[in-house]
This record gives sequence, C-alpha cells and structure tokens, in this order.
Amino acid sequence: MTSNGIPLLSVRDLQICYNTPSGAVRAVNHINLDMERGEVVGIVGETGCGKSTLAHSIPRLLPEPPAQVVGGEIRFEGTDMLSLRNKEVPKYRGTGIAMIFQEPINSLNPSFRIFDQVVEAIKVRKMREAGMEATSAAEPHDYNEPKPPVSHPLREVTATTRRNRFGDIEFDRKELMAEVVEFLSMVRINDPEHILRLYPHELSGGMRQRIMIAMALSEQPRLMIADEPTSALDVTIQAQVLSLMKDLIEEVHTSILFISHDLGVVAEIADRIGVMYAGNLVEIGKAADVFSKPCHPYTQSLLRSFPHGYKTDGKLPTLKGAVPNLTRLPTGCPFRGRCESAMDICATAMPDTIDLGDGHLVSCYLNRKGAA
Amino acid sequence: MDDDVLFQSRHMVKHFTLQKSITETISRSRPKKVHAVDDVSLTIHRGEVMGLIGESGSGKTTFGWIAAKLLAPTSGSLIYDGIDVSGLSGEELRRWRHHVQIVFQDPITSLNPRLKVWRIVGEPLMAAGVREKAAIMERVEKVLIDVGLPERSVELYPHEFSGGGRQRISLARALILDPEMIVLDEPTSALDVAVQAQILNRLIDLQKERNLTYLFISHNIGAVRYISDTVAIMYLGKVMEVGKVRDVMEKPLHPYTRALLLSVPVPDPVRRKFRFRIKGEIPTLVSPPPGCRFAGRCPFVRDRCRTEEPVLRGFVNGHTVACHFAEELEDKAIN
Repeated sequence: MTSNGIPLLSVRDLQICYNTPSGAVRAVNHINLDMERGEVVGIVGETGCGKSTLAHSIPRLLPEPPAQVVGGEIRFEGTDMLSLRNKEVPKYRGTGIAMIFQEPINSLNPSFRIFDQVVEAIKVRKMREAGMEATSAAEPHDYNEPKPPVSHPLREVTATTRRNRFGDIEFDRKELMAEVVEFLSMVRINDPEHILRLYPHELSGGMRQRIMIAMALSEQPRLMIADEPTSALDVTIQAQVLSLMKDLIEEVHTSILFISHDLGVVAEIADRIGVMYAGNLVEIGKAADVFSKPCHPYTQSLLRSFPHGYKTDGKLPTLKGAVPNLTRLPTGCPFRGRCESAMDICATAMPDTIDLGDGHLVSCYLNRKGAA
Repeated sequence: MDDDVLFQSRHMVKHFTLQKSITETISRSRPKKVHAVDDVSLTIHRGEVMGLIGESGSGKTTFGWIAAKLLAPTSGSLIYDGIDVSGLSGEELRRWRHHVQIVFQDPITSLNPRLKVWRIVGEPLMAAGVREKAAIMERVEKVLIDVGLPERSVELYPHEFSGGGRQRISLARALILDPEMIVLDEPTSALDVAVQAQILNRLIDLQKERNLTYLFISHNIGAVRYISDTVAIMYLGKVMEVGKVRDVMEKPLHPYTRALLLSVPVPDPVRRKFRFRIKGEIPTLVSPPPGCRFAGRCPFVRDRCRTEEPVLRGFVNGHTVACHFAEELEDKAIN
C-alpha cells in the first residue's frame, strides 16, 4: 500500500534521554521502526521500558526539557519531524498524526460539552481542507497569532466555510452538528444527539474513550497513536472498545501504532508486534511469528509469565532480578543480568539486529548463524 | 471435600446512603442508596483460596472490606471459625484481627511514605502490644525474608522499592501476626506481568507453607484462575456464580461469566476469535431495577428475567448459579 514508495513512518536510530538531577535516563536507545499505510503495529513492554516516550516523540509531544532527542531521525511521510520548527509541528498533528491517550478523563476538558470538544477537531480539519495544507509555505494556523493577512489562502471562500466581516471562518452549525453525530455513531454511540450535549463527567470510562476515538477519527488522520487506550477500562468494556477499533481499521483504513503493556490486548489487534525492554526494541515481527516462535529470551519469558493455567499446572516461570536502572545501563545487552542463556559475549556490546526472514527482527546473540 | 468451614458470610448487605440534593431535602423524599453488596453469602474452607472476580462497581472490594471487618455491613452476619463475629468490638475485635488481615490494592497509598519499612511491617505487632524494638526487628526481618525481600530493607523507605517490592511490604505487614486468613484486594493489578508472576508464586508458596486461607479479589481472570481453588463471580453487588475453579472457568453456567471469560484478551493471535460481545455498560448501583441485574446486557434475556430475580441454585460439584436458564448453558464448554 505504499504510495510513491515513501513509508508512512520511519524511525531511525532514535535515542531519547531525560535529563534529571540524578543523571540522564536513557529511555529510548537506538530504535528503528517502520510502518506502512494501513498497518497496525503493537508495541509491548513493562512499565518504564520507554514505549510511551517513543509514542510521544513521534508527534513531538515530549516535554523538552527534560526530554532530549540525542540522535536519530523520525520521518513521517518523508518529513523529518525532528528538524521541524516548533511552529510547523501542529500542522502534522491531528490530521496527520492523532493520539489517543490512556485516561480519557484527563484528555477531555471537564468544562465543555462533548459537542464543543469533538467539533474543535472537525473545524481544524475543515480549515486545513480549505487551503491550509495546499500552500505549505503558509504559516500554520495558530490561535495565539493575529488574524491572517488579506492575501492568506484561508481567506478563500469554499463550499463549506464562509468568513464573517472580521475575517474569521464561519462554519455552518447544522453541517458541523451532522458531522459530529456521524462520527459519534461511527464509534457505536447510541443516541449521539443526546450524548453530545453532555459533559465528560456524565459519561462512563468506555464512553469517554469512544469520544476520544471519535475525535481522533474526525480529523481523518493518516497515523493514529494509541497509548494504552484500553488499560483503564473493565474487561468487558475493553473487549467492546477493541472490537470497535478492529472494525474501524477495516472501515477507514487508518494506520495505528498501538502501545500496551498487555500482551493479550496487542495480540488481539496488531499485525506486527514489537517488544521493548529498557529502551531497546529487542524483537519485532508479524504477530503470529512473535507469539508462536519468540526468539528473544525476554519475549519468551514475558509470554511464559502470563498466567494461562491453574495452580495444579505448576509454578509460573518468572524472571529473576529487576529492570536495570536506566541512568546506569550496563554495557552490552541490557537484559543479560536476568537472562538464563547469557553468554560472555552479551557483556561486550549490544547485539546487532538479526533478520530471521519475513520481517522478523531480533537483537540477541543466540540467534546468530551457527549459534546454539 | 472436608467440611472445615473457616469463613462464612450470610446474607451480607451493604448500602451506602447518598447525600440528599436540595430538592430531595425539600420534598422529603427518601435518600438514594447505592446497593454495593446485596445479599452475598459465601463460604470459604480452611486452607482454601477463593477468587472473587468482578468488574469495577461490582462490590467486590466492599465485600473484602466487610470480610476483614473494616466496614460494618448494613445487615447480614459474618461467621468465623464457627463463631458469629458480626457484633465484635473493642478489645475482642482487636484480638480477632490477629486471625484475618488484608492486603490493599495500591501499594503506594497503603504504605506511609514517612515510615521506614520496619515501622510499617512492625506496626501490627505494636498494636498487639509488643513493646521491645529488638523483638519487633527480629520478627520483621524474618517475615521480610518470607516474602522475598532482603533483611537490610528494614531501614529503607517505601519509595525506594519498585511496585512489586512495595506489594511485598504490604504482604509482610499482613503476615507478621501469623493470621489464618488474608483478604487480598487486587494485589497484582498495579504490577507488570513478570512481577505479577513472582507475587502469585510467592502467595501460593506462603499459602502452602502456612496453610493460609485467602480471599483473592481481582478483576484479572488469569491471576484468579491461577491462584484459586474456588471462584465467585460478582456483578452489581450480587453473586452470579460460585464453583470450583475448573468448573467455572471451563463450563460457566451464567451468561455473564461466559461473557466475562470470553472478553479476556489471550496472547495468541491465532486464537483471535469471534468475540462474544456483551452490549452496553455496567449500570449504576443506585436503585437497581427488579429482576436479574444482568438482564439489561444479557444476550439470552427473556421476560421472566426482568421481573423475577433469580436465586443461586445448586448444580453438580457445589457449582451454584443465579440464572433462570442456566440449564441451557450446561454441557456447553467454552471454546
């Protein structure tokens, strides 16, 4: 599905650290990740493995400082996101890259009705459709800036937008209302006309997360980044939201980068799965490959420690030790201290990424040709 | 099966009264009540692990607090080791607490950040009247080793531990009085899967070594299946199904249990299956409607479900279910 050969997202050798009083925390180390259009990539890892840092770095949402991109590059549809000026970044958010966060109650404004929040996203898209994106030389719309000059492309009157005598864009309220209702029904909200008059606190967690998905969808993004979107939900509601997301993938052909700590959730939705440990992407491949023949010892132990059976089936295999301190990462493979098959070579340098075929990549010396 | 019943709740009810709004005060209407726990009767045998599964708002934590006598029920009685302990208070209650301890869900908020580990873990001993620091230290160090923490942890503060370490401190505090029964309220839900596996293993080891009885409250079905002997499923303050763990997990008789089990994501993309999705949200516990509490979301709902509340009925092997039409789901194993 690659149009003109440029991948949707290409992350190369990305390194991010947080500068803290106790030293630099190396949250993301030399990560390479490619995504094609229409693909759903899942990233799993434990708390503090850097998966959220990676997710937030793509639309440039990391607070800098303390975060600092030390090296590498992020290309979204060929655009180097890291070299963009701060003013240019918002242009890529929303209609380019949309985010869905873990806690919808923190992402929705408690003092505005659902309608006002969803409509904001739709307005942004409409303004961009009305000429913002066509002339990339023009400054992006910034609400803090003075009104655009007369010759600005935004002044063009289009079929759906008009301007009032102050030069502000006027939207057809009926049309906006119809669109909000359409997107709310798209995320399977019954009675959207009623829901859009409510405030976020009047909705349940599952409903709020649907609203967040509707807002992300309404901008028709080319990439959606979902950071633990179902972790705050109950299991029956999680199943509803997951199957909704699966249906939407088919309906709107969007691409999703899905971050989760839950192996089960990722298995449910992702085409490809990446496993992160201590800031490194240790294994990535097709979902079926990673789950049926995991090649990194960390992936293997993660899958084994998932409780499948009963007490009588024997003990759950566990990992010894704890995740290493990210300010003082050991040399070599960060997992070697907990790895059952650690060898002398593991202490020397981080293993190179080995291609096992069919896009299954793993960074572990055990998978070298000729190794046991 | 031995009949050594350790813990029994009989028709336990807990209603929380909501504050009246101005209009309600003026109109002198009766205050609204949240039916958190409604007529729950559960029996746990000595040395048994009972898993209590429920989604948020099912009343499982409220029931756990009542079981540990941290919360007084509206009505119903608690029988512990053959004695009705519902009315205990003062010194008697203090002595009874030696038998039943609780581990809370959130290891950050349930540990005082200003106290060192030995003070946190030793506090139950102090409450029990042990005064000498040396004696307290000795027992604290012993119990810390039992839960898998190094002895030197006594001089550290809770923030110096990871989530798993903090949960071990919580567990040590519950164990120090040598209780017979521990109420574990979501002990692993704040933990990563690898750490969860460590804690679950440790819990099972301790249970076997000391012949402990657990009430293991969780929404994590994998963890409950792994640790429990019997399982109870709660929904909106009611017990829907109770039985041996294998019976409930493999042959659930209640439509809610079935839906719950099939909603659990499995880390196996090959088994991505058609989901038995239940519609709708968990309704509010304020003034629940008559009939079955699950009727609004049940795919098999019939007229009778909306009017007549189903009672728990016994099936084979101590398996009890509150559903009018449970027979129809019998003989159908899931998957």
